[in-house]
Amino acid sequence: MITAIALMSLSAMTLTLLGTTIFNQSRRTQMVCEDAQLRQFLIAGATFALSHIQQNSTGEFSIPLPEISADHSAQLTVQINPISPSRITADIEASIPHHRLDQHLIFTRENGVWQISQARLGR
Amino acid sequence: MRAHQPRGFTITEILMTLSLLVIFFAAAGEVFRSTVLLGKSSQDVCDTASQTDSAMRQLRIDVWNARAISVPDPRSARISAADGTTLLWQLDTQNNAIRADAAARTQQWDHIAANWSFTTDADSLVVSDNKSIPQRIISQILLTSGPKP
Repeated sequence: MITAIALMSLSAMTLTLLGTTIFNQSRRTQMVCEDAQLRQFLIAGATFALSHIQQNSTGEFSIPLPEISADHSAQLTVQINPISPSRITADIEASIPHHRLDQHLIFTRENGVWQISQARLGR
Repeated sequence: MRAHQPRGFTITEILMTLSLLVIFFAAAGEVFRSTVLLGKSSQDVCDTASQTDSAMRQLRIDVWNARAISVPDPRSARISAADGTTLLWQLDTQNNAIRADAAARTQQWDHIAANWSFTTDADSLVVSDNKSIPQRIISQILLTSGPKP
């Protein structure tokens, strides 16, 4: 009787372990997918910031996202702050429910052309 | 008059019971062993995944800010950061991933880089392990600065 109970407990432990491992791995896979999506948003945000900087437009912007992203309450905001006539920073934040990613960009003007001189990806 | 009552078990009954007990305990031992092994391998998988994620996160941050990427050999990558410093990523013979910055400070992730190799294209570093889909890690700076001459 005791052995049978011990065996059943062991089986339950095994199943719990398996379940936990599968759950963790699926959550990790989901996080990787979401991270990739958020990085795509950040790249889009950088392009948006560059085009606005070239037009001397600064301030905070919320970028409309495609339907498929908007369905999941995704948001992309860009804040452009001029530091000097040849130096501008942009903070870009992409978020979906329970997950966000940001980057800090420094744009510098060389030979009349704005370009990214530093890109710090948030953690 | 009382009927004759048996006062014990026959040798056949005892042998059968013992055989069943042996089979039962062998099965129980096997289940126990499997549980312990599963627990250990599950822990190993979690540890490796966590280490790999940590290394990839750092590599992604480094490459994101890269002004130039070169791959002297498939087991090392040289990343020129936007601030002018150089970061070196190496995969050693024990399959450790090692990151060294300009001040020679190193970070190491143990035993995660079996069969890993680096390649590069115009604006990204590609990490392959010959099993899964290669990871393409993009440089934001190189991507936005357009095609090189």
